[in-house]
Amino acid sequence: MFSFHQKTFDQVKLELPFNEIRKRARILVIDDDEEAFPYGLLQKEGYNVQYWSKIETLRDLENGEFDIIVLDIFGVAPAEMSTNDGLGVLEHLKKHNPAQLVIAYSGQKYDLSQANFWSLADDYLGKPSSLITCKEKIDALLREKFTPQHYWSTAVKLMQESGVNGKQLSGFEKKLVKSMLKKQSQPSKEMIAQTLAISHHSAATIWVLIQSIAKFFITT
Amino acid sequence: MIELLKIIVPYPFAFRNSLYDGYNLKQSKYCKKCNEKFCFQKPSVTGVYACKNGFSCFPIVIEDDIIIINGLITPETRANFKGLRKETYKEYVITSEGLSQFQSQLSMLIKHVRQTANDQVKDSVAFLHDIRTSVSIVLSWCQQLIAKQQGASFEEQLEKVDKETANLFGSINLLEEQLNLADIIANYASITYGKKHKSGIHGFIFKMVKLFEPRAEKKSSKIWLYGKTNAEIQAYNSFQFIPLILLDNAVKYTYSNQEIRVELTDIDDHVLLTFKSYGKIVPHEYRDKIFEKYFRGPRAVKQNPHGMGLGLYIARLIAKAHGSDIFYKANVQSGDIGFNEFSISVHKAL
Repeated sequence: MFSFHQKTFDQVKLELPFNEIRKRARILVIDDDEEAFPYGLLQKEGYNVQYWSKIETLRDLENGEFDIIVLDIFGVAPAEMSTNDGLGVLEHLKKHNPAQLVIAYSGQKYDLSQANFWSLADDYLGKPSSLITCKEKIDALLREKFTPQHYWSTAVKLMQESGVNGKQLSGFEKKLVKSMLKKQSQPSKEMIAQTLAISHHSAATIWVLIQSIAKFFITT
Repeated sequence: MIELLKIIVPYPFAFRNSLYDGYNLKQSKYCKKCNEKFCFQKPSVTGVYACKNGFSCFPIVIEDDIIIINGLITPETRANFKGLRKETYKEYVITSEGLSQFQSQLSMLIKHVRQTANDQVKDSVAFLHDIRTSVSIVLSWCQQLIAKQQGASFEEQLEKVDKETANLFGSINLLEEQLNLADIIANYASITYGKKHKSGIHGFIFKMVKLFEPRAEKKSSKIWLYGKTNAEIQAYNSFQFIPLILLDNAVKYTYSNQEIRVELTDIDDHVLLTFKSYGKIVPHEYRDKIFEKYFRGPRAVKQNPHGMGLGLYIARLIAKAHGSDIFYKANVQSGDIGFNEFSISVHKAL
């Protein structure tokens, strides 16, 4: 499955069949209308989908546990959590983890005050959308962005913004690739902060991104 | 937006690369003659700054737009550019406090106007929410019904259902797309919502043709898709509404028992899409007008009195958002009868 002599994430060839990718990608649908999104039929076709009618705490979404979040715009977050309902949640998620894949899901594209909802998300689905359309959108996003390179390039950007130089970055990447290929445990948030001499806040985000990358190296 | 600004801005201003007079103070001769138009550039600073000719510019950012009050003289810039302290420019002298006060008033006013406009749009299309919910339920039941068939995927199951169920599913899909089109009618900015995606143009058009087959059948017409291409295009989700609108028109206005042709032609780095239907051609005097907002020719009014005259206008907006355009050609067969041909050329994805 892996080629051990490779050094960077770009050079690592992960030959996961698309059906396996569909199974691995954890998808969360958050919509106050349980009937609207065909998550049950997607589950039958092998997609790893969960459904929530609303968000209990934002912390549940911050650790990168879900690879794609299908997010409705209204009726999903209480006012004390987000002053702007789904849009507020999306803004929070993208700030906390810029690589989080989100599909905006709503039938209210006419609302000009919510325009950011559509531009911040990685893609959108109108409501209602047929199973075939939902599958097309999810598959396209999985093919395009559910890759180690997507998460690594986001991590690189964050590290560069935190002042990590090219040499440090390259060394860190090689160590990560090696440890992932050998199925070793990944560095903790503290280790990342220390190794790269960056803030704990940045280290926490990079840790989430590394966890996302590590999932691709797990063999079944 | 510009009409509103002309009414409420008292000072000369630059907006989207054009100069405008204020309702109280016109553009100075100096600014009109200026070739550099420094005030068209997005400033890198906030607050008052001087253009190369010494006039004060004052940017006002309102959401995604920027208005630059130009050609004024404020104490800050006046000290640096002595040549401008002429008697003729005394009416252009203003304090920066005066500008700041105007900025906050303008921001509040525009915010209020936009909010009011948005509320009106929301009020007028809020009823669509209930329709969407109902369509969701019907779609959900229809999909459950199809999923009862044997098959590894929904697409395989759909192949096995009877024609009536397949037509029902297609009709609900068409309704779903028409509801999405209603969003664009309410908010043109939504044409560019989402990210551009690569998709195979043949599969994309084939899917649209399938959606319209039941409707064409009702007129004893048939839609044929000619030309095979593996080309991909990079497009927003809204691109699908171009074939949707053109096929909708073709089915609406074609004569019964006539074929509707959709042709795909590979031309170098482009794909040419042509929609041809047979019926009364668009008269010469209306050919430039059919893409105008709310325009409806007499035949369209007679045949479909409740239309809005927005379809081709929106199709053209979407085409332009993709760096393209839509063209009409009448291929006359006899008298005022012939083929109505709408074509659009799209860049292939790299």
